[in-house]
Amino acid sequence: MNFKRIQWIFLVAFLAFDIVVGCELLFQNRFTISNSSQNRQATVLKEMRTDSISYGTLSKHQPTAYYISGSRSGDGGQLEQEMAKLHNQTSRFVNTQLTSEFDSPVKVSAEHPNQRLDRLIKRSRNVPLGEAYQYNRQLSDKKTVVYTQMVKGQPVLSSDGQIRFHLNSNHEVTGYTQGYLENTATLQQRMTAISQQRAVVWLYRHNQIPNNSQVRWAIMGYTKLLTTNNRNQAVYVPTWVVQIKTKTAETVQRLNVNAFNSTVMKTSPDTVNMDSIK
Amino acid sequence: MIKNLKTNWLSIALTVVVIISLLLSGLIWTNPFQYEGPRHENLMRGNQQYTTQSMGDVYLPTTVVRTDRHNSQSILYSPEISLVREMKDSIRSWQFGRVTTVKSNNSDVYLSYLRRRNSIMLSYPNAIPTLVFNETFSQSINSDQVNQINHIVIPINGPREVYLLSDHHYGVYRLRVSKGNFNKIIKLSKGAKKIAVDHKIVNGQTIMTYPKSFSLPFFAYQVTNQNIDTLSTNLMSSNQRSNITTSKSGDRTVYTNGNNRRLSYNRSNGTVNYESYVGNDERHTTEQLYSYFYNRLVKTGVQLNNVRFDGTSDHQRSFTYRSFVDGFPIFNDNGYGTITMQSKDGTERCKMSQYSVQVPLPIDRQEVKLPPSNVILDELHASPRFKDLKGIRVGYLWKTSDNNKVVKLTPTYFVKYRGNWVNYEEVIK
Repeated sequence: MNFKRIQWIFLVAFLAFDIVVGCELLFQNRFTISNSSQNRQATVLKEMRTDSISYGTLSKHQPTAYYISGSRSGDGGQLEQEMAKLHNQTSRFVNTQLTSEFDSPVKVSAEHPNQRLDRLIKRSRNVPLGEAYQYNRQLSDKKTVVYTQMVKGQPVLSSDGQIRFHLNSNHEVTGYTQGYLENTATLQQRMTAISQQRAVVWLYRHNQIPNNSQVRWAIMGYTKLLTTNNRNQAVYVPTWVVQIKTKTAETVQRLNVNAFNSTVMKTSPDTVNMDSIK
Repeated sequence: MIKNLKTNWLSIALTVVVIISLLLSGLIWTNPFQYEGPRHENLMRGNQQYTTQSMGDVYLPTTVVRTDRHNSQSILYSPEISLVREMKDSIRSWQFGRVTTVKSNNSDVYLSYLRRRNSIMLSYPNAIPTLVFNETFSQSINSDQVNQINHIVIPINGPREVYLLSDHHYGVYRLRVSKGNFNKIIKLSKGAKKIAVDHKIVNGQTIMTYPKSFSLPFFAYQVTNQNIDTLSTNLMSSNQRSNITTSKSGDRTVYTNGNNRRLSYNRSNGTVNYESYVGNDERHTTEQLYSYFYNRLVKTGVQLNNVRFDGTSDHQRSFTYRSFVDGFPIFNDNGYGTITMQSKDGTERCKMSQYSVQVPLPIDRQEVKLPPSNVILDELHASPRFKDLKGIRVGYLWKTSDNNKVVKLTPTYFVKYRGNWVNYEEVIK
């Protein structure tokens, strides 16, 4: 064997080694744990398409949020006190809910009702504590414009912290109902919640999304997890609220997923007796 | 010249591939340890548990200590955010340069680094392998050079360096920070609450003491009760198809799966003991256990949001994971909120309970005043059990009561007595 031939053999051998090892290093996945679960999610998303379930872009971002405590503002509370400042409307406060009718209806744009209402709620003579609320497009429809109270940067997705403006057929706001959460506080350090994608995939895998339907939106905000007998304070948890519309029957349903432990939320929250530890 | 190249091209190409292969080999040598365990474990199970907590979120330092320019130290904590986790996220984007050994086997020098002026120190409850540090902080420190780490000292407004401290042989290692922004960490430390502490080396052990009295709030939680059938299935399931048989006697229910998996459940106190005979003792090295146990932990289905690694025992074959509140550990006599995993003599064991604290409840913000730790130590000194005590720390007591639906967590001192953390009052009795 001549020297050149040996060189050739070595060249081929080393080249093969370089390619194999190089590929191994390039494509190795050190974070196999998250990778495999990401792959699984992608598979499930494909499965959903074959079941004729349509959905928009679903975010993989894992938001952070808190467990929040608070109570609905009741008799003598902040909401009722602020009522005294209201003008040009007839209001009453019954059972932690403020209901008010404007003396003359307010005209708003059909597409962007918030343009007018954003200004309106800033004044305490129009709406009490309006600064604490923000327009929520998803929850609003032709008959109602919903403003949600913002707690720690997240909206309250139940009537406990919402202003619901009523619209008549002429796109005029005739009045509103309002609930306000007061004494809100964080109960524990901020935690990571599940992503929007994870919430939708979870619902599908637990047979909560029927075939032939559309996931119209999924938003995260606070809903009531449980109530306590400690001065009527309740615990609110970040929740993915997902709206699903069936294509055939045109019915719309809303599902709530607890964003901390991925479970479907109960429709009526449990009450916890805290007598033993107060 | 070109002619030269043409005649010798074969030799040149050969030299090039040989150099590349040497570089690649070098990379493999220095490449951080790859966790083999999870890869196989994960693919086997379809209905796998999911958690937002990565391995790096579980194996975190548990305390943050700030030393100011007058050399006084304080623990930092926050009711709003987990400082350690935020700092971890920040450090993950840093790039470290070369590692140099500053000093070893000198406890005075070591103590001076533990109490370094103008610094922030992150401490683990127990030494952890450098590989785990690398995983948590997304770094690639050579584990031959630094074997294990107890503390990470970050000097602020000083040189751009970080020190890794290992209690074993008092090793101090310096890391140059080639890229990294310290501002986020400094900002986090400024907004935090403080409790005065001090570090000492007593009988060769690094301990943290509380020189002044301080106050901590109560916490209230709803007790989450995990269904025992789900829990036993989560713990016992394997990739082989087999049936789980149950037998009851009194308060005890025993679940068996084949000949080698056995789970015993005590209904009266909700504790679970799981054993699996795997036969081969060397199935996982100590370093692999960190990822293997993390996967087992995920599999239990317990919410890991406030669960942290809290040390090893049995020559690093037994790992403890504990629930934390505001950065302080929670202790209970029955082991509620604690999960112990062990792999020893060919047997895997898991000790836990069906109870955990996950949902906090609103409680009136009263605080408990705790005395300085030397007052506690003086009281303990009188006890005949004093010589068996190793370590003192502040944590929250979860008192077991008949009403196992809600619990009030009370801050107090705990001492390590015969391998277990117990309320100091129990030892004085």
